[in-house]
Amino acid sequence: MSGSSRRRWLVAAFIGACVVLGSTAAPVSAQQEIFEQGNQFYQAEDYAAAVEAYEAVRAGGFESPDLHYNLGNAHFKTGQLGRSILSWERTLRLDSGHEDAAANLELAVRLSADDIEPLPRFWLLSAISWWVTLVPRSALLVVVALGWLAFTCGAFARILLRAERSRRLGGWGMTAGAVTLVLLGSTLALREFEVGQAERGVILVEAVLVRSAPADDDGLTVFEVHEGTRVRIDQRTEQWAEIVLDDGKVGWVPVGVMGVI
Amino acid sequence: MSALVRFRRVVPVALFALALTSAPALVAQLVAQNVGVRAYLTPGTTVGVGRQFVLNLEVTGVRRVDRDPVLPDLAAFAQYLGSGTSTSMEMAGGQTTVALTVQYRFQALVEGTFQIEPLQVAVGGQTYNTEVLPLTVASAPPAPGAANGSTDAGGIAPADLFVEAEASRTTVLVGEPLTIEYRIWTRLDVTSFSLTSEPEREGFWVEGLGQITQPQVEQRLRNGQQYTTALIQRVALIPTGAGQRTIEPLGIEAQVRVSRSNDPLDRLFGRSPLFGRATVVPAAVLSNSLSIQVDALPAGRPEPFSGVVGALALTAEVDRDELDANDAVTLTIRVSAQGNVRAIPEPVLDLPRDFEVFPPEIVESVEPSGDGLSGSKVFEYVLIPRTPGERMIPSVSMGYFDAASGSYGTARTDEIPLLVTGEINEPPVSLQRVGVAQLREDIRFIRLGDGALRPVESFLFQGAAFWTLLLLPMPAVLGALGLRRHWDRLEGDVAYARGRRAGRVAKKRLATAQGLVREGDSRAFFAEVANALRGFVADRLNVAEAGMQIGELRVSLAGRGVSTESASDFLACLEQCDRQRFAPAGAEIEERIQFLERAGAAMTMLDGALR
Repeated sequence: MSGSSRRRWLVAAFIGACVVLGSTAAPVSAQQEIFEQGNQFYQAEDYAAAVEAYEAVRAGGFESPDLHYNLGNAHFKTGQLGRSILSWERTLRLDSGHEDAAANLELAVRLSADDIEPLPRFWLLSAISWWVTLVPRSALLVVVALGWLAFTCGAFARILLRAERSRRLGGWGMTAGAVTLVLLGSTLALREFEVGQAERGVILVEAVLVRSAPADDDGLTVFEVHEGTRVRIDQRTEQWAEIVLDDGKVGWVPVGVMGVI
Repeated sequence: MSALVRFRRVVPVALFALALTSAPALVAQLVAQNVGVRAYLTPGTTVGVGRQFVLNLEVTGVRRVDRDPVLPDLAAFAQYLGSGTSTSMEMAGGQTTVALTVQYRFQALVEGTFQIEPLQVAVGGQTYNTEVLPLTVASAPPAPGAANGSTDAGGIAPADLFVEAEASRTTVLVGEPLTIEYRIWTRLDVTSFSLTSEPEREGFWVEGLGQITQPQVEQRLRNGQQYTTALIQRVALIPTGAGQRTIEPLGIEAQVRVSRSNDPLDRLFGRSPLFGRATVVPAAVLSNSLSIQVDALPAGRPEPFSGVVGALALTAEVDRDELDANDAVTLTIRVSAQGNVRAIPEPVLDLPRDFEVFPPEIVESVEPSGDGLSGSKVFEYVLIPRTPGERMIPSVSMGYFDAASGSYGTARTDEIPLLVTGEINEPPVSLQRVGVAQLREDIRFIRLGDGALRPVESFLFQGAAFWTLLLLPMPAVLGALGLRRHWDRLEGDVAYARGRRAGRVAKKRLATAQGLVREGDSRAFFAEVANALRGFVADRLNVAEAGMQIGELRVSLAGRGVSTESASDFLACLEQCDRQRFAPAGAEIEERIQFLERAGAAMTMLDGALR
């Protein structure tokens, strides 16, 4: 068999992989238009209309760090501190390196009523959590896919090519791909299965009494939390959720008083 | 220090010798005595301004009180000087009476008639109040030079001891210094003195001219009387605003040694320590007050104005006139002035933009000069030129009011050339950089652009794309492995390679034969078909094509398990080819086409049988 025939095989394999990758993109132009309208409303200081536009994009099944970020800004401008914190937290969930969201969130948290001293966390958990959320999901997906591609292309090269140099290159490709797959693939899996990542929420109402049990009984009130406070959701029933504050306080609130990040 | 605080100081209690030696047997008797409390003033209820009076509190029947008595506030018209305590014991008719007396010394400051509110004293668990005492402060200042006057608490006449305040001038301009000297005059034996009240010099900037620790005592004749005099304080004042100003009097308390009796002989010998008949009494004295007229400066003052009223001179120099860029040079600006040197502001430097300038080191020296002040203020700047070239340190100017000519003047320095050498290596830095101040806090602006929207993330492991991408390479790798094996066999197994090639080569030859169908020469046609058939079967059986006999072929094919029918058809075709190749008559075109199809079919059948 001639060399050119073998190259044709490899090119065909690569194109096939690209087609598979490329087919995941979907047309979003209509939603983009609504998003840009929202931006225009915001710039014209019609913040309520901006909120409506951004929410329409979300309702259309689309999202992005910037969409949540802008929505948070619009909520903040309409005085909805809790919702703005929720939106900026969602921004950071999608892209932990979003500096604007982090800055706005810091300001908004300072404006919220509850000043909660967080309990120290075991360093290993903090480190894992930091690592898992370091790279945005989309970037992680691309890198893992490239790793998989490198691994398979390396395997093809080692199987099909004869020249020692090409085979060595293939070997490197396989190794690099395998390392990427193990390291980032496991990160992606941890992220996807939300291992060690508790469900979190933000209080959206001005103040809510937290009970010791899921019942509407003032005698059970253990403390009060205010708008914008971020909580961990431990468990929930249809109407009640058990929340844990960063300082370790635990209690039940109605599900409706908070938004889930 | 306020009068009240001074009062709370621990006061040594002087006890009479008798009290110290009293027998303890008296104690029971003393406890039984009635307690009496009264207050009285000495020397009397009238006292001259600046003079001392004593507020006495006498408690009879006890030798001690529960706690310090509470004094009324006399700060409105008197200055507290100090206090002392004494106890006494009298025996009369078998009865022993003890008394405790606390003496509070004050200096009267303000003329008028005042009431001294009751003193409060706690004795034996009970609180007693004294009566209200009237006090008249008369306008009887110690007229300097007066031969005689009323006697003071210590029996001292105002003319015998007084303090005189004297201003170097009584009409000055704003910013023009004047000096005030306070001089004590006495015809008594003053052993020591202390300042009791320093006047507030409102509207003036005060420049102390050094503390006088050892007053220079002189003898002077004044109004025909011999006085001992000494300068006790000297201050320079610089008026800060125009108007009529009054400088309040300075208060002192002097310790005066006086004779204890009025006997002229005692008075004569009293001064001699040998006789021990003299005693030291405190005497409070106020100086006279002064009135100063301060005039405003005329309009049209030059800017920048130094504030100096007097004379002013400016010089400037650098420690070198040639230097490399980024090296430092020291610029010294010396301001010499007669007047208020301390008020001289930093000169305004208009340096080239690329000069980095550090805050100056300032050295000032002030000393009294005549009836005013003089001195110098030196500003030392470190300059760092950042770019080379022939530079010029511009002239510095400063305005002042020339008191001698009564007009404004401006002093200025010369321009100073400076040669800066070296290469341009960095852009000029801006001067006096400061941090950026945050004026208000707000959230950051929204992200413009298309928003990079994506469908809301679904669970990755449920996506078809994910599994496609994950699994697609697996069959592909298997395929590649198969391909590799095939390539390897082609290269290493001749029989396999010939067998794989047989059909292709045969097809090629049959195609050549097809081209010959319509040619006139049927031999060539049949020879080509025979080649195709022989080549095919030779490749498939991996035997030499040359010299292949039909009989041998039949045996070989049967040995490979080819059915007789398939083999016969193929061999029949081969036989016909051989016959036609050597037959003279040419076959018809139609016949050739049919034969070609038959040969192809025979080959296909044999190919199937050989797999």
